[in-house]
Amino acid sequence: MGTAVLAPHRGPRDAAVRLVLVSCAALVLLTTLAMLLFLGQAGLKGAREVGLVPLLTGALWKPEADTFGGLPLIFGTFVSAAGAVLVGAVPAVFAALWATELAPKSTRSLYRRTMEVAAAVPSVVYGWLALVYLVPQMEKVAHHLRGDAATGGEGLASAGILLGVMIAPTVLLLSLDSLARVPSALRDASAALGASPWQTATRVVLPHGWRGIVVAVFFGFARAAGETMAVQMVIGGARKLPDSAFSPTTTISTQIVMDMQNARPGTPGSNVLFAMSLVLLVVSVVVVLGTRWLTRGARTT
Amino acid sequence: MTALASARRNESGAPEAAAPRLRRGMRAGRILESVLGRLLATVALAIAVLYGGGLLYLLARGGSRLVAFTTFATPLSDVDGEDAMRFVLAAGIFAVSAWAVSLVVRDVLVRVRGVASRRANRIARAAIGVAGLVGALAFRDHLPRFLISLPSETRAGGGIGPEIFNTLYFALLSTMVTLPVGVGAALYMARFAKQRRFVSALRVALDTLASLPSIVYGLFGFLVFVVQMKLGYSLFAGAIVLAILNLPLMVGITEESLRAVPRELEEASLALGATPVQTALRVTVPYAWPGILSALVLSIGRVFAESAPLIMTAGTTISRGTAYSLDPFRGGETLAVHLWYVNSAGLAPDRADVSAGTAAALVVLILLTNVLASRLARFGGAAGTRVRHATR
Amino acid sequence: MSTSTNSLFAILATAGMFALGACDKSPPPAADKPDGSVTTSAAERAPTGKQTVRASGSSALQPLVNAAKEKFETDNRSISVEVSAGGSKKGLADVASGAVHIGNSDIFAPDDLKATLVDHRVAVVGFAAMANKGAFNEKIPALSLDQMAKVFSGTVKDWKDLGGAPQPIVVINRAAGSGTRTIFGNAVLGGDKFVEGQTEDNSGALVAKLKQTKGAISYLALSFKDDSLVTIPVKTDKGAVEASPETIASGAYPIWSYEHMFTKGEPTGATKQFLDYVLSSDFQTKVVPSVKGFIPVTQMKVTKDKD
Repeated sequence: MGTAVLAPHRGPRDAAVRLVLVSCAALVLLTTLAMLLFLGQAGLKGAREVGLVPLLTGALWKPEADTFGGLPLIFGTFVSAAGAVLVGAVPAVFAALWATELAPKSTRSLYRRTMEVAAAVPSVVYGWLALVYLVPQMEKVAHHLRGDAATGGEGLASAGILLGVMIAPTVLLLSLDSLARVPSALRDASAALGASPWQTATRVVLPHGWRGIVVAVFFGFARAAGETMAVQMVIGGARKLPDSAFSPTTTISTQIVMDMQNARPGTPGSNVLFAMSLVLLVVSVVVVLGTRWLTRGARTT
Repeated sequence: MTALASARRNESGAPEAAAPRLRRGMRAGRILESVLGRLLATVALAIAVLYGGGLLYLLARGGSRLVAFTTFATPLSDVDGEDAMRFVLAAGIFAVSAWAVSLVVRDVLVRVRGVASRRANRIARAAIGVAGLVGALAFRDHLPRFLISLPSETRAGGGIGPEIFNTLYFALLSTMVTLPVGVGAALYMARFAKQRRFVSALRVALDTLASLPSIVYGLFGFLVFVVQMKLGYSLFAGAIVLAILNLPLMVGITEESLRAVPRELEEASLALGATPVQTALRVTVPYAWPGILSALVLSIGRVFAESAPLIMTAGTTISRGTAYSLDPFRGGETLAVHLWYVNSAGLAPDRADVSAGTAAALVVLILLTNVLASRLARFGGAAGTRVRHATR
Repeated sequence: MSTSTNSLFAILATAGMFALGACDKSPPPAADKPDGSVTTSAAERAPTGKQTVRASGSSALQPLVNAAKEKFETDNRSISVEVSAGGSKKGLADVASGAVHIGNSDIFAPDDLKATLVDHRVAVVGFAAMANKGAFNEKIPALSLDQMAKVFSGTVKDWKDLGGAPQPIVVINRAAGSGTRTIFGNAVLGGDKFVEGQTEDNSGALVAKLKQTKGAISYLALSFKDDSLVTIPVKTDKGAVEASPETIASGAYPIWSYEHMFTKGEPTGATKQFLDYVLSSDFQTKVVPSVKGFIPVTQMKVTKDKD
């Protein structure tokens, strides 16, 4: 044709736009680094001031007496998150399996829509509902089990149930997604071989998609461990290890929110809260690394 | 002999010599399967009923306060910007209701007539606009008192007017940051990234941001904005923190939408002589725009739901002077924060009703956001069905 | 299909709400301005460009500060006052860090802040131990400070050891940052030596909890006194002393504190105007006694300079 070269040319405006795009990406990276830096700095200072071992294993948290034993906090966080996984994540996975494999097609999207709305409801709403309806019932149960020694409905039992109800929709949706990613060719092949839907679900889909489900449960655990406001409303706020599932105790995030208001920035009382938030950070990082390791085959980067 | 073949044989009445053991095995298996299947179905349906019923109950319990339009006009109560707020709120309520009705009517028409007509769409849009205007002019002084009054720390009768304003204002402010930065970073990662290590680092960074507990964001915002920059509690600090919080969601979904753009379109654009940047801006992004919009709406839903970061950056107060002010450097609480505050530090005697109303308002906002997101996602191709990928 | 289902859901919910809500036929609330003025037109309202005074801290002081804020804002339309709770220690921390202009506190400033914070004493409030009313403690007329110390430190665990019927004592604490906790702890236990137990910081919720939980006991400012709870008088050598403005003013009732409003350095501008109003004789003589539980500083016959 004899016309000009069709190779893409680059004008000066292109360079400017590319610069803008790179800076957006760099901004994301810088912000993450800044967050980790600020928190890490304050947290490590706190850990050094109090001592890592007393911070993680001490059983009494009393800032007024300069005692910072974080064991009740860590215990509360992990036990309530584990309870949440039992109460919420496990049924959610079963429900996701049903919704993907066994449910009639027409109900699938309605089911999904309901769960999407449930997942988007703010956590304080769940917390408030638990405060008004769950805690009084838990109090009755506590009286039944412990008689006069019962102190009320607040405690790990309420927190575990609340967190379970809160993470179930999210775990369910993530599981739905990962089960949907299983190629339908596999399902069709299995059906062609004469397998029933149940057999397909348990022997074909699940072995293929279990990684995604585990990722979903991991995220549920991390979310339950990090949840703050809702847990604070139902856990009682006593800074000691609980002697039953119905006695008040605390979690890392609850204590951070309660103490942060009074602590003056720069004092050991404030730094030690950042140190405890680093524990939560470690949990998140473990979850992220765990999921990256689990999905290592399927990723592009 | 496969199970299928033997089953066919049985149906056609062929000899059952080899079949009995198989048949018994299949039957037993089937019973167990159906029992287990039914168990799973019960669990799943119980979950759906629990949440669906719970949401409906919430709306019923608190909803009466949200729709109790007054027969007597409520006089203005000497707060700056209150008349504008009432106008906008009334317009919004009626326009949104008209929009919801039009959606259903349009779907019914499509099913009856078989095709969506342009005229129907135009009429619907006009109807929404008219409804909004009429509602605003006629009802702005008759809005439910709960929606337009200031909250009260110690007395009954407090409302959530400023909280609604702050919630929506936060959505606007944080979106102003999340949208450009998120789309820019996603575009870079999807189309312009050269070094795999940088992209890999970015992904790790985004994953980390996504799994950080929200309290950590609150601590960061408190440390940087409230203390070090001495801004005190401000909407600005809260908006920045929320923008960072929403980055993983925004970048994740936008990147997927951008990657889902058919290569042929971009190659055609390049073949016509456009530069890669021009292609990206004029072909790729517009094609992926519905996915980006749905990501935006999802991040707005997240803004409505967060409370922990905001308590530490924007505070928990409402004051008469700045209740409806557009100044981003003043403090203010949102609906979610108000729900928490009323239950943990509030002294008003009608706490239970105020909480119910606030929760109902939040659920209504969430429902609206979800309906909007699902309508946008319908257009978005690959992004539509995999919108949940980055949602935490 | 699914979208219209979703929309249908939304509309059903909305319609349901409308059906439940019906119309609010009540007349508008009476203007709550003290001077009785009704609505102001746009022209009469203050110009924008408002100054803000931020205060945070003690929840015990909050009813009084809110009363002051409402009257002050009506008279000074260009100044807006933001008050939040959070506890005395939060108030101190916030005012020291500059997050707020005024820190409300039940307690004196700690030593390291004494140099920077200026103390304004605006009222006096008494504190009392309040307990769940039941058969187990109806025969107990009063408790001495020593007995209260044993209860709140966990040494005495049952109401029967105090003269009542057998019933385990459930101690409910205030949060760590609460000034009430510090004052009560100093007066009764000689420090913050409370037994660790359930924490409830919202005074309203605490009152509700005390009503529901059998055997429960806690400590509150007298501004939250409730007739369905037992407000325990203090047993001194002179007999049982009930908490009242007179006994507190004379010093017979031992558990009380000043309500402080701290500023960082001397107050200026709008903050000064607000504080001047709160300390004005008009406010002190007319409003302070009218808010439940508060006593004007001038009425006190005893003083103290530390908690």
